[in-house]
Amino acid sequence: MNHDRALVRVAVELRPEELQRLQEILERRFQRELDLKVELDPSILGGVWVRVGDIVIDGSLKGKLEALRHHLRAQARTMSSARVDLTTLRAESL
Amino acid sequence: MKELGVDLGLLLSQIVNFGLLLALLYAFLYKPVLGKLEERARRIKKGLDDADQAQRLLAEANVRYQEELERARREAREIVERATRLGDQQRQEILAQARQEAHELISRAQQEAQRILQEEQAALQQQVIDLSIAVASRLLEKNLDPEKHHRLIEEFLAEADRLK
Repeated sequence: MNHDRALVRVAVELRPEELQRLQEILERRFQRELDLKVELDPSILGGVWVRVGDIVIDGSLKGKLEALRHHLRAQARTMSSARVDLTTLRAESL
Repeated sequence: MKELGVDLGLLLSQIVNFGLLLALLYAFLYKPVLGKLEERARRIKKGLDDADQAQRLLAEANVRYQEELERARREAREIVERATRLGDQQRQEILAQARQEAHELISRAQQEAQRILQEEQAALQQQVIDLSIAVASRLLEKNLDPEKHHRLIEEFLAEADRLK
């Protein structure tokens, strides 16, 4: 039987029981049997990154840091545009 | 009459002669002289009348001249006042415009300076964020021991398990 493939990236080798649990969880989640291909990728820093078809589940530390970076950048942009509004108002009221 | 030494004929002829003389004098001397005198008197009167007329005309001309002079002075004063007023008004307008332009210039410069400052601040913030993330990545990379790695994997599994 031809199973769908799940690409798994981790920073350290998975213990057998972790691999087993991951397989069960993913199969239950996608409701089909999956072939897990586990790659060792230190660049994800830690955690687990999974792709099944077009769906990506990013539980990596790298992903979390990227999310944090986007969040902080967006927040900084909002704050600076709010300051621009304030200064424009000040100049107009002169 | 003879006894008195008066010759009546001579007397008569003398009387006639005298009368003739009178008539001749009257005709040829008195009348022309009188005419001349009258003519002279008329000329003198006319001269006096002309002088009076000239005096009157001169006085009128003088009055007109004074009036004209006064009017010209008044007009000159009005022209100067108008010019002064206009000059003042233009000066005020130029000043107001210059002030307005300077104000706009300063305002634009302030806005531009503020904008540049904010752009610099924003760029700096982005750099600080990127740098912080890079430092955090490096620290995590170095400080995560196997135990912590497996705890992270465990957390992922627990969370994935919860999300059905």
